[in-house]
Amino acid sequence: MKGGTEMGQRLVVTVVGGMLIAALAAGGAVGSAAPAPVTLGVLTPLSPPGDPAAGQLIERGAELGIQYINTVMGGLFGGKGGCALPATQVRLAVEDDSGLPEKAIAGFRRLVSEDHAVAVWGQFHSSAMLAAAPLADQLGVPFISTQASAADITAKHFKAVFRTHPIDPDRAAAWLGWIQAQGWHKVAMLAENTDYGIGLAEATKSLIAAKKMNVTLDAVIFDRTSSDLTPQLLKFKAEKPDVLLNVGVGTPAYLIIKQAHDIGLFPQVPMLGSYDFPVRPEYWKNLGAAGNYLAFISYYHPRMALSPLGKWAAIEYAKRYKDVAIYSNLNSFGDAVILAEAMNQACSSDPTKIIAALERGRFDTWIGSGATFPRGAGVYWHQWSPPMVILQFTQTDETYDQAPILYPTAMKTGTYTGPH
Amino acid sequence: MGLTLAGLVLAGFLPAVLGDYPVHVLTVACYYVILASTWNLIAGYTGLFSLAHHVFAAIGGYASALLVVRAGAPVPIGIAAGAILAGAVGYVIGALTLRLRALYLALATWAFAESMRVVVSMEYGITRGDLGLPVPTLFGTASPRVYYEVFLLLAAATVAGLALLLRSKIGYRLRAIRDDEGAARAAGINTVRWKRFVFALSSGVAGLAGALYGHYIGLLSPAGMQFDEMALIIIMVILGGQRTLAGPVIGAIVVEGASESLRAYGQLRMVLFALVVLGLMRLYPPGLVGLARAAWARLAPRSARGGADA
Amino acid sequence: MDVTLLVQYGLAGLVIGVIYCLMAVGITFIYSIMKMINWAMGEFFMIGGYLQYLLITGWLGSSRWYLALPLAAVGAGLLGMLVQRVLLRPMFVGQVERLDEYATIVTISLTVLLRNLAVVVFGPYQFSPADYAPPVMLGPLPLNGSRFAAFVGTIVLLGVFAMVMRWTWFGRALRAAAQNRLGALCAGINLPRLDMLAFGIGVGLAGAAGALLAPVFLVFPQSGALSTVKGFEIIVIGGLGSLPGSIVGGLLLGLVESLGSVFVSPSFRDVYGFGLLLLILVLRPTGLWGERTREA
Repeated sequence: MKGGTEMGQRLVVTVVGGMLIAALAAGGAVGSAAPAPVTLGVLTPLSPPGDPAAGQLIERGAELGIQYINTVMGGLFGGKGGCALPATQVRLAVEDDSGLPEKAIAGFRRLVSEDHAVAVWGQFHSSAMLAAAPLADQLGVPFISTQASAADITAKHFKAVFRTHPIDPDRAAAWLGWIQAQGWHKVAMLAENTDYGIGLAEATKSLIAAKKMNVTLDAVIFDRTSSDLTPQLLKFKAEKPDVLLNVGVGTPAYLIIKQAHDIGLFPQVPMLGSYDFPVRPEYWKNLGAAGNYLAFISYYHPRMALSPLGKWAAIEYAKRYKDVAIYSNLNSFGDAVILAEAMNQACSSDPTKIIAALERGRFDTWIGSGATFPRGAGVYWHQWSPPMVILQFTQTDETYDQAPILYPTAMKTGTYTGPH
Repeated sequence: MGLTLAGLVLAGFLPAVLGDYPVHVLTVACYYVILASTWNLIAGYTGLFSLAHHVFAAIGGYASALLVVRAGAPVPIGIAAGAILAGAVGYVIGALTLRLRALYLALATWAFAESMRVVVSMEYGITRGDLGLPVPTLFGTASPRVYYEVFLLLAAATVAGLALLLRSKIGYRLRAIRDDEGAARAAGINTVRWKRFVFALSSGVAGLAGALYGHYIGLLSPAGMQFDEMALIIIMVILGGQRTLAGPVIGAIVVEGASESLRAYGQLRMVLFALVVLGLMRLYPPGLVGLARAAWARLAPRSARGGADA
Repeated sequence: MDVTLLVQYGLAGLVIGVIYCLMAVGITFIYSIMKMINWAMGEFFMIGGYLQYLLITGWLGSSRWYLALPLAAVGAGLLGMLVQRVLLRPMFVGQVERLDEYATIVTISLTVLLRNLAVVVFGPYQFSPADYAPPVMLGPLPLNGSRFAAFVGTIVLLGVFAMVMRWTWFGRALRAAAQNRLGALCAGINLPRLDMLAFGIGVGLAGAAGALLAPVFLVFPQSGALSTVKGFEIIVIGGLGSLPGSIVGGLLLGLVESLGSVFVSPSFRDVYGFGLLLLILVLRPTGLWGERTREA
């Protein structure tokens, strides 16, 4: 390759020099955080190969949480619960883990040593969470899994790790319970090859075997980057299952619905979405009438007692971001508030004391009160799961608050309706 | 030469003054120095534009991990096995792609890399796929300091080894192959043997680095097998300066350092890197090393004579 | 093995194969004129999709999607021409020594740039315009209306492309440049301008594919990745530089993927294409219809 020109040299020097200065400034600015406000840390994927959509939602929820703590709660301490420390504001430090174990470790270290975060949450990818968990134990900093679902995260009984996300066995139990209540036996599942999809496929298989249910499961794993799932769906159609479980996140979830609809598999065969993506406004824009009759798991419904906390979050989120708050936002918001409550209960921002307070205390969450993180057995260590309901859209352009609740039976407001 | 040694010794003492987080970043930077340098050997010096380099590192990592976790082998044996397997696969790929022109070689290696990624991800019964494969660490401690020394040593050994290789007759042969394969063959160079050799060597070293890396981070995931990793290696080598020894070293350190500092900017970070690379390719291909040389030449015109690299 | 299912799979494979031909034709066309592979083709596919979505939802409305299509394709093409002019021209005016390497590095960097820029500008969400047409039945296969529209649109576009190449002066100039650049130059053809236009046309085809497939595969920043994969598989199978090879290669790939999904496993669907690609590269590197290269 021929050498460059004089002008090229100058240009490169300027650009690279500018980059270095910017980098130093960024690094320096972060390092010089004043110790007075308490720093809370969020470690979440904000760039590929991680899932930036998930990370952005979690980040927004976290910012909302900080806003709540500083404005509505009036900051930490300040006489609450008999704690005599002066009222202290909190600030948020965000680090990107790109869904990579190595970057999760680097990000966690940075949050603790450079940003002086006293607690960290916001994880979405299980591999990143599992890589950083031993570090949390080593540094003694509480680490909450906001949406990372692998069983090992709590099953390994890390001292400093907690989770506020449904674990796979819970989700599997929810949909298997509904399936049995509907009297269905033949279940097909299309799961993506991520920790989420694989974990749920395995958890569903284990639960069926453990409880010796009269249910057969045909679970097919697909590569998340593939766009055309028609062959797998055609295969399912030929098998005539009673219900199809859609275990994709983001684009794959939509593609499964679209392509199943195209080949006449859905809504002739009932389909259950594994998380609350249908609540988002783009659901009907992306699918149109094809999105009707989908049943899906949601974590809240206006008929449920959304706590004052959750109501505030939903309203504020809509005001601030002009968008409907979904579970990812609310759970991240909830994690921030739980940590504030723990600090108030411990009357301290020392990470070790926060861990102890988390284990001992009861906390208000966005969905209710009385969340606890006891040292349970197996995968229930430091685990609190939000409740899950199954909703169904029965009309095009329906909003989730109009959708009937199909499960659990105690909260039922309607039964599954198929197309006429 | 003496300067380099002094610099190395100094670098070895860095953990004494830096916190764990910067030491971790430097350790990862050394890992990328190894990957970038070995890719530069195969692509920059021999002209074999392979797009599967990151996958050879992953093969080393997963091979070692599976041996240790499933067959109970001790970690050092696992690492050695990982390196050997990666080298063997590299040899085979080199053999299969002997007659392919640069374009086709890129396509073939890219196809190989993508298939490997899908296979590792889908065979989660063996590899635990995206759930992550937990791996025993080499030294049992979460502190990065001792790993830093290991990676620093390996990076130094790699670059030194490359320097020796390139200065030797083998180096001339490789460069002859890159410049004009037909003429090289006519001059009596066994291009078949040397192409396979360089593939095996660079893949083996990459596999070694990958295995060590796996036993440092403690968890393997197929996320590192995505094409973004390969693009990152390319960016590092181009930014530093292709076909120089120091280029990949500087490029790896700068890109990894900038990646960490610009963390909060997520996507913008990658946009910036891509723009810088495009700008460099278009306006100033010699990269940072070229810049440094030009500056040196201007400051000390008489003592600046070219080095032993292309 | 259920015959209906087999036929359904076969037809589904053919339909998707034809659509991916557009990508392959674009890649091979650029290669034949400029002797380089554009690794960022998928990103122009993605841009075509975004343009189509924006045009439909912001201005033309979903009933006039066929008007948005050429606009989206032209938009992608114009961007491609700009890229060629700024980044790739030095390759052809003697400023670059190793052409293959330069082209690969530049287009790979372009991939990284465009993909991440799309996330910054549009966000990591997915969008979809409304379906282009109501569903149809192709034999025993129920086919989504948009897929069918894309199928028909592809055939129309390829037909127009073939006619331009065959019957117009411009097409003759392009064929001349593909056969012998020096000769074309001697004949007085303005090669730099032709290169720019050819690149624009090639990526315009990719943009058209993206616009056609927007309601089928959704529009999101990573949507280019898969189409690049398919495009490259097809050109290797069919042969770089051969347009009929691209078409046959596309059909073959579609079939191989579908049948592999049936007889082996649907999970590894995307790997069958790679397997075929590697096989061809090892056994017959120039592809089924490829040019016989003369190494200078």
